[in-house]
Amino acid sequence: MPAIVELNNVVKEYPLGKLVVTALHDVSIAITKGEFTAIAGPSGSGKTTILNMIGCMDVPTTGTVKIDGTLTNNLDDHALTTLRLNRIGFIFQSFNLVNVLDVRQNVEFPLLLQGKLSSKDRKLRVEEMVEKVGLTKQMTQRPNELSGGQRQRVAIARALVTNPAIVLADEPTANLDSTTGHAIIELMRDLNANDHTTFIFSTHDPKVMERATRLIMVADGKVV
Amino acid sequence: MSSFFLAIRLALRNVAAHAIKNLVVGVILCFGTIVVVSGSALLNSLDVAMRRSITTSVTGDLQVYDKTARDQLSMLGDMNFGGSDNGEIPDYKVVKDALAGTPEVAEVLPMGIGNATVFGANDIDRTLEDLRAAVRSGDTARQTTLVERLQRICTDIRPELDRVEAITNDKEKLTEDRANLDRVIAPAFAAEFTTDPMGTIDWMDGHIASLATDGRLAYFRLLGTDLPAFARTFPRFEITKGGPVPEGERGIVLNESMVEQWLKHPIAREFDWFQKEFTQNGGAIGTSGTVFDRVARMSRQYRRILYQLDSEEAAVLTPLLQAEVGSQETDLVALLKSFLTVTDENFAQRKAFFYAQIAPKIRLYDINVGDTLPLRAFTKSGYLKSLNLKVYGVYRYKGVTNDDSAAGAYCLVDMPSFRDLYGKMTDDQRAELADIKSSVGAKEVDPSASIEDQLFGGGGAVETTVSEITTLENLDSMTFGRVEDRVQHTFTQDQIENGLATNVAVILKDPAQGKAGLTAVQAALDKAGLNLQVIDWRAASGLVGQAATVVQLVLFVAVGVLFLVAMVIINNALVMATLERTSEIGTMRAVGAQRGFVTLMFVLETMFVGVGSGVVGVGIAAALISWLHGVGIPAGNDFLSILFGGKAMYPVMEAFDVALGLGLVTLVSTIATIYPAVLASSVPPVVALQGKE
Repeated sequence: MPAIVELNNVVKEYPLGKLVVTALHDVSIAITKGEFTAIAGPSGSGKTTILNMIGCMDVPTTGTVKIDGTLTNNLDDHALTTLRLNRIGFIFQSFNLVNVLDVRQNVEFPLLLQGKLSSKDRKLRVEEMVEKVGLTKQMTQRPNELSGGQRQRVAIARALVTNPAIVLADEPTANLDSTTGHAIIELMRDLNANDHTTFIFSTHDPKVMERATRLIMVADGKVV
Repeated sequence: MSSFFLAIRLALRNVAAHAIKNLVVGVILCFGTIVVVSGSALLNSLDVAMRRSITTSVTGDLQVYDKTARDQLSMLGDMNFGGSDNGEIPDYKVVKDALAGTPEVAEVLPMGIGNATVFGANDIDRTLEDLRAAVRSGDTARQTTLVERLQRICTDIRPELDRVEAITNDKEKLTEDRANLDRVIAPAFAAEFTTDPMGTIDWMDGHIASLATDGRLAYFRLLGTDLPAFARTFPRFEITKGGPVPEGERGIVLNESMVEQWLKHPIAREFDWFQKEFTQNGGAIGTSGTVFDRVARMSRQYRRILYQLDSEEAAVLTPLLQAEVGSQETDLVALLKSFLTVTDENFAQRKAFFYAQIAPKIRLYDINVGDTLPLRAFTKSGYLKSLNLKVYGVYRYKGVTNDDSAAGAYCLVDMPSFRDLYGKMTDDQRAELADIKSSVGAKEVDPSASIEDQLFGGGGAVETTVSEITTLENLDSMTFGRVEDRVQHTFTQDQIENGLATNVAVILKDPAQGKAGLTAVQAALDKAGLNLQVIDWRAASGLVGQAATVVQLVLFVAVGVLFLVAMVIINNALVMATLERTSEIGTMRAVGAQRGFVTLMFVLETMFVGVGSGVVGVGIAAALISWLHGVGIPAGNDFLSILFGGKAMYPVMEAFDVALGLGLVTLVSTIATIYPAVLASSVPPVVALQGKE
């Protein structure tokens, strides 16, 4: 099966004053469709930088990044944004919902940006996703009226509503208690199993790592 | 399109979510809109009122005058205090003919601006004049009362000479003056008068009249014009006393405000002035300041009343004054001094008493309708000309009353009289001068030969010249510069139109098309080869028009400062909002929002606040203007009354004012958003992975 994510000899350097800090040292990763991949490692090991590369939010200093067959190195901001909108879903450690929008509107947000579906189809799709994450009753509530776990479920629904090829999750359970965190991982796992959506998430929680079908260990900017 | 609506929805949600910030911004923008809309409405209303006031009272829509004039024509006052050089138009008819075919022009009117003075007679002069009339008519009773009045005046002047003694070196003259006064004061004078009335009057004319205070000098700003046409053309012109100058005759109509200001009895004017100060400026006499000083001076002006009262009038007035001032004093001088000692408490009562009891007994105005006015004016070549003109009436401009602005200061004279005072000779006068030259043997001096020889030497015996001079006994009747003896008393329309004017008023068919009219008139004048220029009413109104421009400028600066402050506050508020919302913006960018979407969202957010505040501001301004339209803005002072075209201005709001207010507030809020919006759109999506909720 062809890789949906390919990082080849990726090096990422950041200027820090007069110094140059190398965050990734010659990293090569290939992830195939449908994998439930955990990128694990201690803080500062380069997990988030790898997610940035995969999520088209950053480009490598050297090396190549290919997402669902598209080489991202030479894409401009507009093209990278379009790629993120159509091919990648995001789940953040801090949930990152838009506070002025309710659950339905947060989930609908990427669909509206895409502008592909009719109002009716959009409504059906949103309701389907909200139902999948079990928040139908909270449809009209705003993020500040929800618990942490509920917010992360909204984030998951938002990440999946566009049927992305890849869902990236940055420490998705870090801000949740262990029970809720476990439930969220199980939900992601179910969605992965049922829809064959590729999940890539960073974590340093051993219990979460256990649920991954593949584990990539990172230390000092290198895959180990 | 769905993302556009999403941006609108988000912007609206953000407006509500950041209510406090947006309320602060909104209040500032709302205030700015109120200032802009109501200011614009007021200025436009002022402009309309001014246009109506000025164009329908004196300037017309356009003014034409000499292109080579040193000063700009300013009909409503300038910095030259009437001494402007506005050049001249040698022949008005040529201008009229040149504009005859211009479709934009409805009416043209010749005008001539000039100045003149009138020396008023003093009280002894006037009494002697009345006495002469009484002698001529054989009214002995009147003669007796007038002689008694003269004796009373002389009695009052007599002590003044004691004070003069301390400062004069001419003791001989002083002794003579005392003797003259004593002669009049003496009880035997009445009998003496009856023996030779005219001889005694002439003696008093030469020996007594000069001892009284000089008569007042009145300054007249004259506007020569075609009087009947002026009355037809300017609808605000109305005669309030007397009537118009009969067509084809010479005469003058005085301006009401000028009459009130310059020709009214000084005590009456003081009472009027105090009243105005008290009502308009809320003043009181107090213990210092101009009002206090003028009140203090008033009691010393008792002579202004005393000298105009004959014995019967004095007898009637004395008990009334005793009752008014609450005194048993019988001396009229003391009573008048007491009466004229005005306080805050007795002012209203004293003023009412003055107008009810004293004013009917004295000459309330120096010049009245029917009088002949001895006008004196310096001609353009610098010599003095005088002309007697009958006062036919007093006029004012409807709605503009009691103002002392330059607009109200013009006294209107017929065009031939203006030309006489201006120094322009008529054909008849030129012919007469040629006759005089011929009869005295005057010759042109040849500048190429010796001028001295031509004037004082060379041929011609001195004896011959002397004998020629003796033939000129009639020179006395040709008092130099005095023209009334030679004036033609009636004239034709042709004589009005054929001759000099200093400027020409042009009335347009459509006053709203002022610029087009100005261009057309200038083109017609240029085509006719006339070296004349055209200005609009605003420029022609001089300082008044400029004052309105200054008011506009002040408002624009105030609005500019207000909106600059608003822009800084909006900018800062949005920069803060951007920084606060970095994580949210980063998330939106991460999940697929383009930079343009973020920019749009921010611009819309401020625009909604701006438009919302603008609409509220327009509503408040509309209510304000509507209220002001109902109650009117009082002119308050004389300058404003000419700007307002009346005692009050009733502003109206038009679509332009609303559009200006909303347009400006939207523009300001949009400009203020540019930097924060660009800043927001620069937030990288990676921030979403670093942000904390």
